[in-house]
Amino acid sequence: MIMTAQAVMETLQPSEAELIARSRERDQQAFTELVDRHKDRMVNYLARLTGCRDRAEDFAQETFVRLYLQLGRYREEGALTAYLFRIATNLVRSDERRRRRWSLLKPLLETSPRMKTSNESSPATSPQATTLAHEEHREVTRAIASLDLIYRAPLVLREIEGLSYREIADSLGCSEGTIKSRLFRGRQLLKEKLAPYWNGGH
Amino acid sequence: MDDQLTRALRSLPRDQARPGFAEAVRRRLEERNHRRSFAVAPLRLAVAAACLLLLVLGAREWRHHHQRQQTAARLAALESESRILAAELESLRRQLTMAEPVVYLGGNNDLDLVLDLAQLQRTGLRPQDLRGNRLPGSEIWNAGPPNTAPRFAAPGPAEALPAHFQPPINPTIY
Repeated sequence: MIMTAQAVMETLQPSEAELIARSRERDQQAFTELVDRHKDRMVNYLARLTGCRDRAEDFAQETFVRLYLQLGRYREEGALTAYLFRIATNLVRSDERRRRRWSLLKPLLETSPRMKTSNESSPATSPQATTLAHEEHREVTRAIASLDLIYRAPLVLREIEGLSYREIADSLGCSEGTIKSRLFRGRQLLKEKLAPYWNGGH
Repeated sequence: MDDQLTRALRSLPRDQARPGFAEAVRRRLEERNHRRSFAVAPLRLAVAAACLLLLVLGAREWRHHHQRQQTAARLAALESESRILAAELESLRRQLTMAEPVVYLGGNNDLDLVLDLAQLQRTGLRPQDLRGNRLPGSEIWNAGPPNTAPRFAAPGPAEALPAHFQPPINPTIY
C-alpha cells in the first residue's frame, strides 16, 4: 500500500478530539492548532454573513475566544465546526440586535446598519473590483448581506460552506424542516434582489 | 435563475484569515484573562468580606442566643425554686397554725418527754409551782420498739423518769 506524503502527514496529525482535550487542559499549542484548522472557514462564513471583511475577522477571533472559554462545557456530540458556526451566528445576531437598537436611538442615522455594513464590505471597496465577475461578487455579497439573518445564515452555510441540512440544523439550533423552508425563502428573496442586476436593469 | 444563483453563490471568492490570526486570538484571550483577573479580585474580596461579616454577625447572634437561653433557664430554675419555697413556707405555716402547743423536752430511743402547753395553761400553774413537782399535763411518751403501737406511760411522780434522762438544752417545738 502506497501512501502519499499528504496522507502520511494527515495520519500523523492529532485528531480534533485530542486537540480539544489538550486545549481543555490549557495547552496553547493544541488550541492554536485548532484555530489554524478552522479559521479560514470561520472567516469566510462570517465575511458572507456580515458582508464586511474586517468585521468577519473580528467576529472569527471572538468566536475562538468564546470557544476557548466554553471548552469546559463543550460536549463532543457533534462536529466542532457546527459548534463554531453556532457561536459565530450568535455573535452576529447579538451584534445586529445591538446595531438595530442603536439605530432606533439615533434617528439621525437613517441608513440601515446592514446596508452600511454592506457598503463597507471589502469586495465593494476592493480596487480590483473592476471586472464583471468582481461586480457580480459585489452585488451578490450585498444582496446576501441585506437578507434577514434567519435566511442569511442557512443560505451561506448551505450554498457557500456546503453543509448538510443536518449540520445546518445543528449549527443554528433549528429543525431540518425549518432550515429547508428558510433556505427556500432565502433563495427566493435573493433572486428578487438580484433580478434587476441580472436582467440588466442595474 | 436558480442555477444562476447557485453558480453565483458558489463562485464567490473564499476569504481567508489574515496572517497572525491565531496570535490575535491568543492576545484577545490574554487580555480577557487579564481583565477577568482584575474584575475577579474585587469580587473575591467582596465575597470574603461578606463571608467574614456574616461569620461575625452569626457568632454574635449565637452568643446572644446562648446568653438568652441561659438566662431563661436560670430564671425558670429560680421561679421553680421560688414556687417550691413558697409551697414549703405555706406548708410550714399550715403546720404551725394546726400544731398543738406542745414542747418537746427531750428523750431517747425509748422515751419522749412532751409538755402540753395548752393543758398547762388550763391548769393555771406558774413555773415556780412546778419546781420539784411532776408536770401536770405532761405525758411520758414511750415510743417503744419500732413497728409497735405507741402508748402513754402511766402518769407518776417525777422520780419515775429514767436516771439517764437529761432535759434538752434547746427543746424542739413541733
